[in-house]
Amino acid sequence: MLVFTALIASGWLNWLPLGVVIAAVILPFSIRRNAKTQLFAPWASVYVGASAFLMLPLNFSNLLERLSWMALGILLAWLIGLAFDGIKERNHWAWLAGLILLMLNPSAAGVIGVLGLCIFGALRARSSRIRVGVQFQNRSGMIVLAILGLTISAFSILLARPAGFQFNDATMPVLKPRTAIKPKTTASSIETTGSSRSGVEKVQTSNSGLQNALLLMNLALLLVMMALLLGLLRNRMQTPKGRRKSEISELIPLFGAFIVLLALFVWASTPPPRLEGTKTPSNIQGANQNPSLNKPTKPPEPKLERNERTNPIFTIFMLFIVMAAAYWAYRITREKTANDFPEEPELDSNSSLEKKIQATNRVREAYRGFLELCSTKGIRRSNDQTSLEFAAWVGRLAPDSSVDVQHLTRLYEPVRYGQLSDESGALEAERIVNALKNNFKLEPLLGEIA
Amino acid sequence: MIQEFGNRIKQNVAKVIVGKDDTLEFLLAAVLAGGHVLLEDVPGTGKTMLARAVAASLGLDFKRVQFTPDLLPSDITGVSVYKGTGFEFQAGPVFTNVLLADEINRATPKTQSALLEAMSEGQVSADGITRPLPNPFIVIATQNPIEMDGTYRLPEAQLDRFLVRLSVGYPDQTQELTMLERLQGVHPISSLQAVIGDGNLLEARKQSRSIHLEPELREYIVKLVHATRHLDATYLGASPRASLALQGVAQGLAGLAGRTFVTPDDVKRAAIPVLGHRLMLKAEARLKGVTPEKLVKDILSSVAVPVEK
Repeated sequence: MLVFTALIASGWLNWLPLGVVIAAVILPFSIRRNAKTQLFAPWASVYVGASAFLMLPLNFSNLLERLSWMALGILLAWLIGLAFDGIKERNHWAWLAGLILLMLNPSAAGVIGVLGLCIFGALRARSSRIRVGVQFQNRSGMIVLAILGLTISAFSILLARPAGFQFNDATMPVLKPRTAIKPKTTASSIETTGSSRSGVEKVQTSNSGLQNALLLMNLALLLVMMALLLGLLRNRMQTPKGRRKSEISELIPLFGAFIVLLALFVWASTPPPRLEGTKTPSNIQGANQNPSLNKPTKPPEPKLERNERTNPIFTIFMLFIVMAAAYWAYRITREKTANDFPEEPELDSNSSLEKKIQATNRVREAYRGFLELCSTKGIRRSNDQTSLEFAAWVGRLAPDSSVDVQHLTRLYEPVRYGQLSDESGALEAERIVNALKNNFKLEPLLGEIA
Repeated sequence: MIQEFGNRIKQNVAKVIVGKDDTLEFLLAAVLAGGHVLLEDVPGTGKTMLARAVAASLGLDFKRVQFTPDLLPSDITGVSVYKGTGFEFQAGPVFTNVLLADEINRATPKTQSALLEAMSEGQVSADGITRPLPNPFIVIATQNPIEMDGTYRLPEAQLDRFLVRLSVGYPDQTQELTMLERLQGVHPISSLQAVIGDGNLLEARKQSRSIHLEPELREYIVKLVHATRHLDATYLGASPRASLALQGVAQGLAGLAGRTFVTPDDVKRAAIPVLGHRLMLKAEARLKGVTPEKLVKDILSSVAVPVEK
């Protein structure tokens, strides 16, 4: 926790790219199913999100923009958290509170906020588990989102294009009115100061608040798409090969939307080309009439070039790479291990207590696998449902699996609430879940309702 | 052992009361938790019969008091009588194991309150002397919620001392037919035998209290009870005694089901009987048709159950 907090603090000392790289290393480790390290995963996500946010070379010129970015930052962290399912209902608000702190004052208060979050998370997130992207299951919702995203983004980009973004070189970003470059028309207007901007007239064509807001919306939609894609990819990988076809219909429009949105954003973020006729002072007709202006001067540097290190596309790309790396690390560790606690079975197998603990973990993990399976089918346990109530409900939706589900619940309850477990129960629970993975089938009509 | 205890009583009571398994189970869970029971329903639903049948099955000393408006506290607790050499305390009907307080809301609040000390502390103070009541001491009270004439609403303090409030309800047609057949001749209540030996109840209570309750379930109970204290529709929520009651009844239900651990289902099942009568509704809420049962259901659907995520 201390190391992680120190990393966050380092992020605030303008070592943000390094921070993202470090977070990229931490995240896969965090995702390994170890009861201690997994606590860090949500905070790693926060860190990646916050770092990415700060790397965006934008500053706040007014309260509206600040609030917009704040909302975007919160959305970002929330989506990442959802994608990794590290957020549990009980620390949702801690995330938001911390993020608000970060956005309002990205300095000491932000560090304090994240530090507080880490402590809070360590205290509260005792049983968090990392499950990527199971939150997004609504097929029609995804397609609608993709179409809506494309429409809004295209509209917003077209609106914002005339002005576009301008990024400065500072580490802390600045969103300021764009400077369009126009050719000089008269020699008299040539500046004689020898500054790098001589020979260039600057005309401010600032973005309107609406344009900025639309661009932000575009960015937010990009992030939504990214999270959805991650979730879908994960679900797809977990679906048996023979049944993967069903998810292609969601994957393709989403992926298409993501690519188009990314392209639009890249296009909008690119500085507009110099207007035709832009010239350096030495080339301007009549410039040599004044000897003092004849000495060779450097071509003007209008400082419209983007700082590549702080390019938002680069940031998003980094973020995507980080999440992808984390996801594959998760996949690899999951495939390699028979259960989700690979490190813990190193305990002395002769000890009955330790065997009991292992059996408990296995049954609980098997039950989690069952919940996850249900989730992929669109059946999610509501917070107020007990395991028995949930089993009865699932039994109604999938009558063929009802007996297995009831049996699994009967195996789970003594373990969860009675600290009663044994090896045979664990084996049986795992057998049932494996069987359900192959045979779980919803009643057609009821499945639609679910 | 608890399951066997429950089964024996259920089978015995079934000779007299047809159906009502749920009510009987809650009643037994409350008895196992060491609490008192308020049976509330319309006349003729078998409240008194149920109480008598359970008392007879438990094989404990049983007394019945018909509460009336002119009943005095001393009629319940006892009175000192001068007998030549001095005053001698004549113990009232409260000095028993099972006290059936029939139509408790017909007595004045003063008389109703005579039971407060007995119910919460298992003792009676009269004439400056505190006398312990037999152990176990169970009050099974009945009241009619419909007929309000000549009745006195139970004070909150008194209601809080009842572990559960149960409703017997009407039997369905089949049950009513069976009842007619069974009660055609001599009423079986007169021949009902005790099925529980001496000390068995105390032993069962001890076992019930040792039933495992996960810390997260304890938190769940506390969350439920706390939620009752922040309702707009009530001016008084459930007391800390309600938390204890919910825990005890949930343990009792788990024991009767043959389990050595409590599940969230036990807690949820116990919530309405335990919390319902402890919520004091505001007048405007009552006028809007809000009921304590509905409020408890709302709370149950808003508090997260500790299950795997």
